[in-house]
Amino acid sequence: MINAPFLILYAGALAALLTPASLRRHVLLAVPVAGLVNLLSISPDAVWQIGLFGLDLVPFTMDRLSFIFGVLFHVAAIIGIIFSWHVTDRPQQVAALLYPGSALGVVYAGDLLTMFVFWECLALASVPFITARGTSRAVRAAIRYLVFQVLSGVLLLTGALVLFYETGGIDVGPMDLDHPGAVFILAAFGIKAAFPMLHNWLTDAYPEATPSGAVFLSAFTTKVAVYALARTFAGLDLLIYVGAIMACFPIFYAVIENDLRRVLGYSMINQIGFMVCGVGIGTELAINGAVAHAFNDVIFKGLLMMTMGAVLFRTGEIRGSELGGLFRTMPGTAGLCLVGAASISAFPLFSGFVSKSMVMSALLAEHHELVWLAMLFASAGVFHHAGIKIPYFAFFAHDSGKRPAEAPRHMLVAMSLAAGLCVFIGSYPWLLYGHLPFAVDYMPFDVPHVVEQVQLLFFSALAFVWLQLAGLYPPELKSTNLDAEWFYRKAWPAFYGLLYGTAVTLGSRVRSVVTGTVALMIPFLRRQSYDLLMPWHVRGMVLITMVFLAGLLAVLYLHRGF
Amino acid sequence: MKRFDNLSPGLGKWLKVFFLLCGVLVLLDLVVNKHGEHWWNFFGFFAWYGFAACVILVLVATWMRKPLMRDEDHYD
Repeated sequence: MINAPFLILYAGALAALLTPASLRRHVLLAVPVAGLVNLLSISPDAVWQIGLFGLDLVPFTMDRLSFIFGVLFHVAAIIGIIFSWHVTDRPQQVAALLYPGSALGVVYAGDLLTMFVFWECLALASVPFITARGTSRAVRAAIRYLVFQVLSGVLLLTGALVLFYETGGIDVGPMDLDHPGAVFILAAFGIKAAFPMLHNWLTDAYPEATPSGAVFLSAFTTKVAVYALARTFAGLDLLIYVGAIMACFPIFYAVIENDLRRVLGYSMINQIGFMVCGVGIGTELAINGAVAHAFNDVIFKGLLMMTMGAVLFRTGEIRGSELGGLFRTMPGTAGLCLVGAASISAFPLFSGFVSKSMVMSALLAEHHELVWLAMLFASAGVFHHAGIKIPYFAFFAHDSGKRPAEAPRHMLVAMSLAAGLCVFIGSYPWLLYGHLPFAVDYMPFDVPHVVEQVQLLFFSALAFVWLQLAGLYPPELKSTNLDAEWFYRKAWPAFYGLLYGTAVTLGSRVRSVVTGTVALMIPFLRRQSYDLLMPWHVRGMVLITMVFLAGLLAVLYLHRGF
Repeated sequence: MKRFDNLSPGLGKWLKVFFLLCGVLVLLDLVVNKHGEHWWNFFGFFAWYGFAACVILVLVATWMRKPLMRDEDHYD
């Protein structure tokens, strides 16, 4: 048996559950550090297999792809735990280890059944980060979140079973959409990766999470999905176009969204778009780019989420329309936010630059010029909403009059760690890039490419300045923007209400007709022989009762089920 | 100066520096040798593409508010 990474985090979660509150956070921090040391000491060809009911389960197997994700998830857990040093409620604290532990379980699972178990644990373990906010809004968002996550799990299990039936194997490995089982599995991954129209659980639930909860949430679920896609569907052309749509459509929403953490949610889908696109291209350069971008995104998106978490923590407010001018009293947070902004915008010497360039170069190498143009549009757009809008409306813009204290020291430490990683990976990329799945010779800092990227970003900024000066830039407004959730939060309940109302009206009419008819028939029936009627009567009554009860059950299920 | 009014008076100076940098960056295209033979390797492509992309993005997004924007408590 091997000390599989999830074992250490799960054992740590159990320890944290039993530890008194005064010691708990120290346990929390020690566990992922120990986990990281353990991961680095595991031999690359180690495998842990269990035979169960004639199935070969593989709870642990490692290659270069899963190794880098494992390192990433440990680092993200450490940073998240430092950021949430002030948190004292047990569910969130235990989740701080269970959730990353489940992500590690998925990453090192060698078979679909093991993967499914951790996939569901990942869903359940993440819910406390949302419900701990304590508002009814958050609890309802958490339920909707859970419905999507569990649906993803059910699809994964269905896919695994169908695949097992078809091929007799449940290994996690390259799949072909010719197998119906693989279609279910792609849909399962697609929900977790926030594919277009399946994305709304993310922008719905993440902004409702606690200030530190959103930091955890942004790191794991979607990146686990990216890992799973890279593992199973690398080179699937469909993903190139799905990725391009994901990179482009959310940035429009991000421009008009008022909740700055929801802006980051849309921005996250945009970044996952680059990763999904890279997976779809499937060349060695593209997969390296997708994986490196996932790594960088966890750090810089985590950093941005932390700065907004600090703002929410200090002011109790996260709407752009109510914020502004905070740089006066939160200069440290503002500065760290700018580092995150530069990284997500892919400025040279910041972490996003090299990884995004790899995906873009891979697109050109495979002659996807139109998609390349779309991604270039998305690159300019991401700078616009995440690079400029987030820091601008929170820390600068008009003075909101708020004078909150600087973020607590532990938050500044966590944010500084992330910012340091952004700059280190950005200016010295070779350490990370030496551990990518494939050994690819890629020149990150060639002069034309650097100049092109800086031109793109500076002129995006110029557009922002010009739109502001011309008064064309949309102000931040207190608002909700309709998205895919409208279908299940408004349209379906309205349609169901109509259907239910019609059924009730129709039912009362039928009832009055039936009771009227029965009333008319009673005198007639009385005249008939009871001997003839009795046996029919009892059997008929039982049958009618059963039909009625079954119908009632069905109606109640359909009604309560939604 | 509609929206920048509330910022520090030194902003105008910084904006001039920024405009100057933008100009220098475009002019760099004259000296940098671009890779490969692509139709977009003409003078200042990335500059105007970045500018146009953001203007279109913001104008379309602003227009999207008309059909999509609701009250804050729309779902409550």
